Amino acid sequence: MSRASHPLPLEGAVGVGEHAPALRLVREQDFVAVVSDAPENLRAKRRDLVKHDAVVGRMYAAGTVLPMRFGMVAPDDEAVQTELRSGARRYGELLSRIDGHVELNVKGVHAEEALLRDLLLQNDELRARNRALRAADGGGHQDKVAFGEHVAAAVAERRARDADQVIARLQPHAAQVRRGPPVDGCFVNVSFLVASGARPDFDGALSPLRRELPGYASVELYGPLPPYSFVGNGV
Amino acid sequence: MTGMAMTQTPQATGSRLSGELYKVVELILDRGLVIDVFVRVSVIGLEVVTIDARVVVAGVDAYLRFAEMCGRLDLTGSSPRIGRSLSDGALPLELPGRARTEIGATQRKE
Repeated sequence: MSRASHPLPLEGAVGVGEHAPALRLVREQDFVAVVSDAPENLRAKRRDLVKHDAVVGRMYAAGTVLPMRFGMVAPDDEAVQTELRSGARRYGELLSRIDGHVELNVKGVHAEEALLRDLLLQNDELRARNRALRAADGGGHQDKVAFGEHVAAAVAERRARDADQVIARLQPHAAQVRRGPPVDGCFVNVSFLVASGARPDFDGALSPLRRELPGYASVELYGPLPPYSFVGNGV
Repeated sequence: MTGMAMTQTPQATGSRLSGELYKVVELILDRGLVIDVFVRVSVIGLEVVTIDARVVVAGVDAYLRFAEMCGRLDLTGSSPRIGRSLSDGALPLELPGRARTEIGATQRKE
């Protein structure tokens, strides 16, 4: 969804579904929505995600766009028009807020063995218990569970601490911050809405952050992305 | 309404590598604009995704795993910067649907 004035560079792009339906435009007042007919019994597949993202990506590369969550289906074009009309104010505000901004997604992972090694080396009690369990040939089930629980708590603490640090270092260069859904293996998944003028500063903050984080932590930057994280409800 | 308000981001085109797409797939599935009166297609069975991959550092399985990993660690050598090389390459992040249980993760399909 975007403003009616969007250049809409959609040649060659298609909608989701096995038969790749053509894209259509639904216009209402100052807004335009890019839609396609939803196939009957639509079962989302990987290729459909790619198509959805391709359409959003094209729109985003040429102007401000409100990316829809994947898989929203309206009963018909009139329902879309009704929504564009009744939500005009909200959509206008959202578009203004993200004008000239991009989403940058940062994920961080811990190298698990190195993290555990660090925890044990820095925590005398954990190290002693680990040694005792090893001396007892692994120890009994209860002992192992109890020890593991302590380790897990220490891991959780590091995850939270490092996540806070990532956010604290990057947040000053962002207009908005939103944590992403938990992702397997990541101690942090967070998105930043960054003004194009602030990109150099944001990118510049990454290197010192990487140096500052413990050696077992690494962060990757993904983007710029359409602002998926900054158009949803409650943003 | 103004015209084209955003002219940067030449690298963000419709041809984004699918590799990168999958690194942010949870955003496409779990973020984005929602219109309450519309229906959302089911993403059940969408092989790429567990949208709700909860990373849990809890539970007996996770505890046992931590205990066993710690038991195998060699604490005599020191390699404190072992994780550094990861930042040079891609994240060792697999598609959420692959059900990695890195830290005793439990996964729930929506």
